[in-house]
Amino acid sequence: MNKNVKISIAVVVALAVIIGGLVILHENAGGRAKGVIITIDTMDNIPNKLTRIVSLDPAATATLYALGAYSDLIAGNSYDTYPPNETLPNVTDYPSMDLEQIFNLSADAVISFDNYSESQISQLLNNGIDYVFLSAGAGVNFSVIERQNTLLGELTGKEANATLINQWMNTSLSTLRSDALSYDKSMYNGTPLRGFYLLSSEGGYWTAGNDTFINSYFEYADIVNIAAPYDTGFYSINPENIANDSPQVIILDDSVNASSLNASGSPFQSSPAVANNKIYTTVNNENMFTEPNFRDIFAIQWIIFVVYGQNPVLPSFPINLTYNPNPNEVI
Amino acid sequence: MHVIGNERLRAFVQRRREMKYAWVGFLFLLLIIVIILSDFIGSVRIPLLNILEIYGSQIPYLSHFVPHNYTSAQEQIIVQLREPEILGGLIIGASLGIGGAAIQSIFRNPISEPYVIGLSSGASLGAVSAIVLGLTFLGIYTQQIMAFVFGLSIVFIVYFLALKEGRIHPTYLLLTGVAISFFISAIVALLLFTNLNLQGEAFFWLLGSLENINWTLLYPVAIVVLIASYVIYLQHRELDAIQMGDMHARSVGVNVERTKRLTIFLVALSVSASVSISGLIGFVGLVMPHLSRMLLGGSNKYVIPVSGILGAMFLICADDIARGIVSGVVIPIGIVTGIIGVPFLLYFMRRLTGGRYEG
Repeated sequence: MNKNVKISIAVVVALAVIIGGLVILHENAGGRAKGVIITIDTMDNIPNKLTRIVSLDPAATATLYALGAYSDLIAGNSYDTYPPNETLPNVTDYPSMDLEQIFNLSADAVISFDNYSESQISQLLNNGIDYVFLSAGAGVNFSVIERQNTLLGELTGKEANATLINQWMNTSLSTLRSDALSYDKSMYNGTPLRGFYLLSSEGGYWTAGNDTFINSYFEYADIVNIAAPYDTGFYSINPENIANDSPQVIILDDSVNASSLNASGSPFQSSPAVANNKIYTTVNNENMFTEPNFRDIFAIQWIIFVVYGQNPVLPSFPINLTYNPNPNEVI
Repeated sequence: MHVIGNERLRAFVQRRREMKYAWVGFLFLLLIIVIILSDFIGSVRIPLLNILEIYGSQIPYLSHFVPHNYTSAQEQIIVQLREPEILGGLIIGASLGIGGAAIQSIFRNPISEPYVIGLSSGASLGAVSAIVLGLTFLGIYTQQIMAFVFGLSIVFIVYFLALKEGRIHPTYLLLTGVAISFFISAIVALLLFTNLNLQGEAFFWLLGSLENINWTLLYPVAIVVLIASYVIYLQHRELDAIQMGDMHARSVGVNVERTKRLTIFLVALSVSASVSISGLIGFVGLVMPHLSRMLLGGSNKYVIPVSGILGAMFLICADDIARGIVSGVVIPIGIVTGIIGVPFLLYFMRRLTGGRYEG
């Protein structure tokens, strides 16, 4: 046998032995039980109460605060706005999560709304950290938000508060819906208004279609979302559909310049919304249009207020909080 | 007089050889230092003593004698996060450097690199298809497996399309690779166009990152890269001969077609495995072989291992910069390799060759 071939075989065998040994060594490293993925669909499989939680989801941070479980949070993210004056360490590491910080904080669980890479999630699970996934895309409506409240309540031992928040949401939604139906729409020929939500105009007209929590806002405010029939989730709508359906009301994200709607070539240019100046920009409450949680009730209240000029009275929030959850009252 | 001349020549050659071995040894030592220093870089500060203890605890038998004053969180950070990322940089950088040296020898073209034979576009197609179509039929590593399989498959397609009468002409292979890459890139663009929501995820894969490498991904890739690199190194004499032209190589008894076939297969195997876990990382495969030729001359006996060492060192340093330059943001490593690497290369070209480098 050629000398080189013999050396090659020896190298391959040696490598296989060394690497095989390392595999066994690292697979057994840590010694902690594997973490689990928790969603609203796996609620029967909830592990022990969590006390060291990392929230990468601003909607979850707000909910945990309202539930009275804020002390269980050991880290937050750069998008958290409620409660204000957060002093938690930020463990977002765009476009990833900062696993080093999360490990260093000895977290029990990480809550996220976005699909981080499979490999990062498996790192969490392999190191005994649970991953709580709360969807924020297509399929999230108020019923899902209530189930997410219940899940967070059960994970933190605050089930009773979760029930109180859900009851408050249901009562508020009924109030808002019946109020919206009762308002005088004669100025709109008595039919429901045609509305449109413009999230971004970068690289297309990004909006909320069917099966989104923003579509639910429109439904409760008795407004027809013109983007709903064309697609589900958040998507870029064909401008021809905007021009054809001609919205009477436009809700603008605060990142979009309202004057661009009237520009030459804009699909909104000839719409009644532009002609009658029925364009409303989310300013202090823009987070309620990006974060599905209990505070979305106040988004509907705001829409009804700006569109109909009426201010529906909501039941008071059932939990006494230091920071008012209603941004409409904060302004 | 004649004898003295021969002795002087032999002594000169011997000195040159020793010098080259010293360079290889020095660069290897530098690589070890870079690996150790990189273990200190991260968002969590871990004291030197604790890092050394964690190292010691991983060595069988020795672990019983090493004090365990570190926390389990520190152990997790070093063993589960930093070590696989740094060793990933080592393996991927080495495979790109070695692949670049081998491919440049075969093509006799200084601006060729492993990606020119369709490898990068094939891997992109596999990864982007998995992302955009949401494929999970091969478990959580479907994206990596798809990138590997597609990268390898496209190289085979390019190879067989370029094969004429059982022979491969380097220029024809190069042009076929470029043409197929454009075609595949158009399909990748079409896939991205169909799902704009996933453009961000695909974009970050295309820019490359070592951040998501874990032990489970690293082991199989390490085995493939180490074995393929070693066998490529064993071909160094044949590659030297091919570098001087196919006719010359045949005249000195080299089976040119067999060597090219084997080398292309091994480079495709090794680099496909690497990019499948890191995404596309440019520059390393193109430049490191040139840098090693500037340092140690054109013999593949030195160019191949030194390209591997330089590639590994460069990628580990680039990853340190990618992680550390802006707090809270991990810059894709492909951006760092381009921004840092080009001035670095230009400087070395001027410094080491006085601007007279001819490839």
